[in-house]
Amino acid sequence: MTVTTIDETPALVVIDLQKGIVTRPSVHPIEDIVANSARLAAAFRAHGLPVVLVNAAGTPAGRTEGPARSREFPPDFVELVPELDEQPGDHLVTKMTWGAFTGTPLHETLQKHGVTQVVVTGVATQFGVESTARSAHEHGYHVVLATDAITSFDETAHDHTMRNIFPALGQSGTTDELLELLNRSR
Amino acid sequence: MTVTVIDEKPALVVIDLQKGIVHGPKAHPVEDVVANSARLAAAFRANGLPVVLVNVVDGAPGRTEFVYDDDDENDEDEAADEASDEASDAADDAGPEEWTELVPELGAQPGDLRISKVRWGAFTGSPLHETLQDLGVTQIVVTGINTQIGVETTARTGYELGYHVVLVTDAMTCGDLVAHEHSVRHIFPRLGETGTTDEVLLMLGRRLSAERLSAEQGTR
Repeated sequence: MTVTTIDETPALVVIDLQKGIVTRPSVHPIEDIVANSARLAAAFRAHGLPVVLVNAAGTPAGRTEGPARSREFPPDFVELVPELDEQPGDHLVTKMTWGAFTGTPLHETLQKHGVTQVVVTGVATQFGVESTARSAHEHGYHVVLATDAITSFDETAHDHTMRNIFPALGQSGTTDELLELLNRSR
Repeated sequence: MTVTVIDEKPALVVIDLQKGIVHGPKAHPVEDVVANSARLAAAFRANGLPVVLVNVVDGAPGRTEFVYDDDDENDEDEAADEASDEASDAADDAGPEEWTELVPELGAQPGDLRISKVRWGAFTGSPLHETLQDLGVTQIVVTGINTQIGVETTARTGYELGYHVVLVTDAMTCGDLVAHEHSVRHIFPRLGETGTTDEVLLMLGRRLSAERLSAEQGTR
């Protein structure tokens, strides 16, 4: 674990744990990713800390080399998995991009709650999670990656991001380590 | 290569070709990266298209795992260390003016747009998006250093903001070939189109010929 501090006001940001995405093959058992995210969410809620549940509803319009994707996803694709146990106090962010900041009210919401640190979980390591982490770092937040609550469909990309990118923009810990640190800090 | 088209209003965005960043071992010859960026800049200028020269003057404040270590040889994770180095170097005040100065070989001109960024990407916390929108820019052609840090973050955000993104793969580099290749092969094709300097110049030439032809036909 490299996380040194849990701030007074961290927020949990869970990326794209939604029906259309959890059904895809993943490097790590998706039920573990979901369960760890749910444990973190329960703990954050118990401490009165913000929980942000993010889902992806489409992709940007820019031309890419592929693969071709639909710009808007069907309704059942975007629904959050029930295991996250969404609560009325949770903040829901729907994005049409990889990262959860661009074109959404996420930054303003976090600022309004005095958040200085974000703990990020979800799918996919090198797309939704990484773009969100890069943006969070750029927006001045301390970034924490929950290493056993993040996965991808691509093992090489997952390992590359975990080893080469995340340590340069934030710190990391397992779900157990983060929960222990969180509880100790209150 | 799949640069399919250069738009009517593209902008060239050159990332961090400055003295403090080009310094140090890179996966490709820096002089080639600079020369290719300069060729693209010359072509864009000659055709009245925006050239944005970006430099980095500071770094994000968040706590990170990798802390700048003077003894780079002992670091196992070169890529992450490099990224963190960049931020720490920016924050340290080592020969401040020199460090942020664009390399002369880039051939900066008075008409070029200048963006000084304080983050990995050129968009966050800068007027870049607003500036490009005012100019009606729909596509960004990105070059520079480091492939997986400044270039990639700018490309990711550009894609999110709705731009068509072109990555000029022989006009960018970083200290770690594995990281460079990973970005070029696995990330860039999913957020934009990649091509060499020659290929982009060819597509730009085709765009300009098509415009001239339709202008001529319009006046008959």
